[in-house]
Amino acid sequence: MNEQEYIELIDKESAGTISAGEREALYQYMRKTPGAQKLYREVLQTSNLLRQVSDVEPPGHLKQRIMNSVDFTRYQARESRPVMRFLLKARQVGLKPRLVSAFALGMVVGLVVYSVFLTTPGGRYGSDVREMYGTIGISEESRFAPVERMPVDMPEATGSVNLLRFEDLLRFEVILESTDAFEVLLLYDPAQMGFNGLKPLDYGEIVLETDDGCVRASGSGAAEFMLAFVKQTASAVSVDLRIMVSGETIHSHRFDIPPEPGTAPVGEKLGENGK
Amino acid sequence: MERNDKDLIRECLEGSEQAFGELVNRYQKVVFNVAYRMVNDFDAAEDITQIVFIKSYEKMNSFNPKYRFFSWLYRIAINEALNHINQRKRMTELTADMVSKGRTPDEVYSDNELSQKMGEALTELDPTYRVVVVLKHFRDLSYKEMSDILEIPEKTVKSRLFTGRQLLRKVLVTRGIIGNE
Repeated sequence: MNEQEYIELIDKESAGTISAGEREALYQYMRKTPGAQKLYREVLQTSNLLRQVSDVEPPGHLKQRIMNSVDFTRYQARESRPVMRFLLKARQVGLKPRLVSAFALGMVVGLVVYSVFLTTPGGRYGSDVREMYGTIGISEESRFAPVERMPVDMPEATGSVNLLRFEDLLRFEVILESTDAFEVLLLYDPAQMGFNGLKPLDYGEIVLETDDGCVRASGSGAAEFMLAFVKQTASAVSVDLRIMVSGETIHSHRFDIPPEPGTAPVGEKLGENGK
Repeated sequence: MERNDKDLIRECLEGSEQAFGELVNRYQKVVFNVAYRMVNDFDAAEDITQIVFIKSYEKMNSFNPKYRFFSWLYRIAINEALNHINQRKRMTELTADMVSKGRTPDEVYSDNELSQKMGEALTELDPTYRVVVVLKHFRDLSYKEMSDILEIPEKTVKSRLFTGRQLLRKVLVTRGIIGNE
């Protein structure tokens, strides 16, 4: 028996799992080996003392503390999302999840568009389901008609600013390529019209600043974006445009928007529809 | 019928809070005790136990069911305790309280006193040895289980246990907790 085996037997003896044969071998080894008995007593003494040390009770609030600190939405969310369950099910029956998702999305979009036509009391252009750029459910080409196209052809910048209109909604489409940083300013009477939003038409960065009666869109190089307004009066309005490059005004222009015959302000039209 | 750990883990992954609560009930005491014996600090052991369960929940979807859950839990607990020891080592120095009060071997210790003295003695062991002594003598794990948890060969477990126990004995003798032969 080597020392390692001897130690293991002492451990077994200490744990009370030693067999009769092993105990005999252990005692035989101790009789023959000087110092073995001393080691045996030491190990047993230490082990016995360790055995006397009882477990400590954790604090009573520990479980609650643990439960409070665990984010149970981690797996619950995965389980409870019906779309995910549907996709998982689709995968199980061999359907491609992307195809299924695209089909489902197409169905939803189709239903939304169709519902707009169904609930339109006044025909194609009479809808009151509106968002900032026009009316949901009708193609842009059918809604916005060009009012004026203003070309920009200067050494510092080229492009165009196009004004389009649908009922009381106005949009200025700006397509610009400048040699340096540019600013496009639109000045208007805030009592007659309000700014409705900026929509980038490409990936160029546009910084927008608005003030009462003034919208300033700035960028650099090439940019395409659209600035939307809503008229708040049935009468004619005008908007002053100013294009600046490197802090210098290089182009200015006034857009005159005549009243559209038969077009009533939004509030009146809503009244007509009985809403 | 009592659900086994693997069933509870599956239920946890299906979003059951109750199943996780059952695992906490089952193992909070053992995890707490391992942590407590490793760091000898009640509050720190509480913090470590909390971290162990949070981590086990977060990583549960990567748990390999071919291993035993408690072995995995022990491994996280040991790692967290070692992290705590390393952090503490960097931040604090020995205080006077940790030095032996010099009781004679004939004095009888109450359970609490013995637990406290043993805890203090254990902190004098290098964590490499402390961990095997704790797992063997406070949790009664087999060499094989310790080998799995610590990811070291059984032979190494045995030799570390022997050395650790002998070193502990020296500390206990120095502190007058047991007599020298």
